[in-house]
Amino acid sequence: MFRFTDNLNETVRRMNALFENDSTYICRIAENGHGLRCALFFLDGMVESSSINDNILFPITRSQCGTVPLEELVHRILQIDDVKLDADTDQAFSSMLYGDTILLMDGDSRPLVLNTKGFSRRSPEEPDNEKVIRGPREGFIEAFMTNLSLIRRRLRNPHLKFSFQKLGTVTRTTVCLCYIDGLADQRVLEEVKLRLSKIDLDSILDSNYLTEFIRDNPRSPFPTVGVTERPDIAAAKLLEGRIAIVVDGTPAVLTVPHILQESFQTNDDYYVSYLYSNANRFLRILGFLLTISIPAVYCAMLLWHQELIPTRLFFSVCAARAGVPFPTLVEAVLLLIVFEILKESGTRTPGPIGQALSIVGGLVLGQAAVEARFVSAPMVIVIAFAGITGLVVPKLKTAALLLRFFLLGCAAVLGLYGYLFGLSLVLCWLCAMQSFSIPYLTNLLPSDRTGGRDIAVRFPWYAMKRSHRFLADPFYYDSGEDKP
Amino acid sequence: MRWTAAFLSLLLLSGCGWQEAENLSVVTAAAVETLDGEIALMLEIARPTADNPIPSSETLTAHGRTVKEAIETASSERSLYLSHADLLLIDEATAQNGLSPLLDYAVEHSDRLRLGTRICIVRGCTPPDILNSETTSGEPAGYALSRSLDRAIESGLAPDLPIYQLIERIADTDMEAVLPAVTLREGTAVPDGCAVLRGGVPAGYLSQTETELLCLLAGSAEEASYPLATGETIRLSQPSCRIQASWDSRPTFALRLTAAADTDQRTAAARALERDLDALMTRLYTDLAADPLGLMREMRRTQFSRYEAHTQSAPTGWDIRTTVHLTGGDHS
Repeated sequence: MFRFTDNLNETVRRMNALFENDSTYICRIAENGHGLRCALFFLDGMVESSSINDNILFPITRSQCGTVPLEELVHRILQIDDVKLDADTDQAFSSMLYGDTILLMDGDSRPLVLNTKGFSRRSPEEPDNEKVIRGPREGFIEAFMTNLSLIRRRLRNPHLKFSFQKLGTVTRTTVCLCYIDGLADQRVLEEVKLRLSKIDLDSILDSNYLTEFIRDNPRSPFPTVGVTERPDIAAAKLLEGRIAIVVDGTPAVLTVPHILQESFQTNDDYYVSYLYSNANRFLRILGFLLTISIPAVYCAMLLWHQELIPTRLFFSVCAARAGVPFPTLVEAVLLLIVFEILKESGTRTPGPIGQALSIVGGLVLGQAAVEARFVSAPMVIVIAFAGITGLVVPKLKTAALLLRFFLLGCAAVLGLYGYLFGLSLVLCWLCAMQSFSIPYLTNLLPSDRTGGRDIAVRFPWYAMKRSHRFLADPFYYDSGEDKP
Repeated sequence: MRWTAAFLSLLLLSGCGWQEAENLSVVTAAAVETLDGEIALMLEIARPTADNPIPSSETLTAHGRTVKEAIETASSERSLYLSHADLLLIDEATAQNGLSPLLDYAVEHSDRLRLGTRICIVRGCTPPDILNSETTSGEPAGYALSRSLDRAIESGLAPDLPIYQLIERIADTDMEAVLPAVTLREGTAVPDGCAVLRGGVPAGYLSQTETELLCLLAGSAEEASYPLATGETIRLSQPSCRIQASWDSRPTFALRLTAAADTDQRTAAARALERDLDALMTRLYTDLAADPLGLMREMRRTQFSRYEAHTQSAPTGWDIRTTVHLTGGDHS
C-alpha cells in the first residue's frame, strides 16, 4: 500500500514508480532557494496549467521563507481557493485522477490536495431530446459541478442539499443526492440512500447503471425512475418533493419517485398557455393509446370481427391484401420489426444520413414492398401510424414497443376480447406498481377537489395550490418561520 | 415464466380460429323466392381482386323447405360470411306467405347477420333476375342496388325499414310496416314504389309517386322532388308533418305538412299537393285499411281513453284532413 513519507525524494521515487508508463503523469519540483522544497503531482490534460503556474509555482518559487509548517504554506503562500489538508492517501489519489494537484512539502508526509481542475467540457446547450418551444435553453453536461451549479442557480434556497458519495469500486464515480430538506419525503430519501448503498459495481459510467439497481419493478417496461437532461425540470421535480440523483460524467439526471403521469408531461406544458399545453397533453395520452392499440385493433377486426368494418372499406382492404403471401398477423409482426429496425438505424446513423435513411426506408422501401405485394398498403399505413404516434411519448417508448407486440398477440388470439383482456392485464400491472413506495398511478384519482390539478389537465398556475404538489409537505410552503 | 405460461395457455385455449379476410365468402345480397312450395335461395358472393376496389361476384344457389334449411344447405358447400349482407330480396309469393320465418331466422342468427339489413320486395321479375342484372359501375348487382337504395332513402324515394325496425313494426298493432319494392327497368334494378304490410303480409302496393308522398309525410328525407298532377315538379326542402288527433264522434286526424318549396305558385302547388295527399289517405286508410303513418299511435298517445273505447267498439271509420303549407326558402 502506498504511503506518503516526509522524505520528498523517496515519495517522488515511489510516485514515479507508481505512475510508470503513464505519459500524462507529471511530477514538478519547486524550490525557492531558501530551503522551501515542494513536489507537485498532477495529470496533464486534467489540470488548468495557468492555475498551477500562477497560483502554486509562482508563489512558492518567489517566497522568501525557508521551511515552514504546511498550514502556513496554505495560508500565506499558496493562492488556491480550495485546498484539502487532511486528505488520506485514497482521497488524494482520487482527487489527483480527477484533475486536482497533490503537493508534498519536504519534511512533511501530509499531502495537500489543490483544486486545479481544468479538463475540457462542453457548454450547457439545450438537449436534443428535450427541446422546448419557449423556456430555458440550458441543459446538463458531463461536468458534475457545473450540473450542480445549474440546479443551485434555480433554487437559491439554503434548504437545497447536495449529498455526495462515491460509487464504483474502479471508477470511484461521484454521485450526488439533491433534495430540498423538509420538502422531500424523508422515507423516500432514506430508501434512496439505502438502495444506493447496496450497489456493488466496479464502474458507473452513466446514470442508467444506477437506474437498473435502484428502480422498482425492474422487469416492467414502464419507467419508475425519471430521467432528465434539463436543469429546469430537475429543479421543478425537487420543488415537488422529489429527489434528484446527479452522476458525474453524464448529463442524464435521475429523479425519484417517478409515477405514470410524469411520462405524459413535458416542460413545455408549464411554459406555454395552459389551454395549448392541455391540448398537447391530451394528444400525448391519445398517442400512447393509439400506438399500442392500432396494430392490435386492426388485426382483431381483420381476423375476428370483419363485420365491424364498413363494407366498402372491407372490400378495399381485401383487395389490398390479395396476393400478399403472409397471414395478417405475420405481416403485422414483420412490419413492426422492420419499422423498429429503420428507426434504430435512423437513430444510430449521423444526422443528415439518418434522415435520408428514414425517408428512403419509410417511403421508398414501403412503396416498393407494397408494389411487390410483400405487404399490403393498409398494413403499412397502420404500422406507420402506430410508429408515428409512438413518437409523441418518448418517455414510454419501451412500454409502447413491448405493449404493441403484447396486445397484438392478445388480439390475434382472442380478437377484441383478447385486446381488452390484454389492456386489463396491463392496467392491473400498473395498479400493482410502485416507485419508491409511492403507487405508480398516484394522482390519477384526485383525493379532493383541489388536488390533482396537474394530471391529464393542467390547471392555470393561479389555480394550482403549492401545497398539493405531489409529495410536497403541505406545511412546508404554508407555515414555519424557519422556512425560506 | 408464469406470464409466459399463462399466455401460452391462452393461445392453446383459443384454438387460433381466426379467418383471413380475403379467404371469406362475403355475401353482399341474398334473394329468396318460392318455387313450387320450396324456397330457392340465391346468394351474391363478392370476390375482391387485387388492385381493384370494386369486387367481382359470383352467385350460389341452394334450395330448402324453409329459409333456414336453404341457408344451411348453402353453408355446407362453403363457409359463408353473412354479416356484410345489406340487402335481402324476396318475391311477392314469399312475402305473401309471411315474413315471420325470415325474421325469426334473422333474430336467431343475429350474431351472423346484420339486423340493419333491408328487405325489398321484387315486382315484375324474380329476385335472381335482379342479382344477375348488369350494373353500370361494374359492381355486383345486389351490392350496387343496396347502395342505390341508400341514396333513394336519403332522397325520400323509398321507405327505410331495416330488419330490426321491421320486427318491431310488425309486432305493433297501431302502425303498419312499409317495405321498398324494386323492379328491373331496362336491365337495371331500380326502386319501384313500396309494399304496405298488414299483419306481416303485403296488403297492397303503392306507386313510386305515392311512395314519395308517403316518405314526405313520414319525414324521412330532408329534401324531395315531387311531381304534381299538373306536370310541374317542385322541390321541397325541410318537410315536416304534424299529426293532430281528436275525437269528433269518430277518430279525426289533421295532418299538416309544412315545407319550403321552390315555386312561385306556392298556393296552387299546396292545393295540388293536398289533393294528392287526400288521394293517398284514401288509398291507405280506406282501400288498404293500413296505418303506416301511425295515426292511431298518435291517438293512443294523446287521447288514450278515446283510443281504448274506439278499439273495443265496432269500427267507425276515420276522418283524415290534410293541409299543406308551403313557404319560400333557400334552395341553394
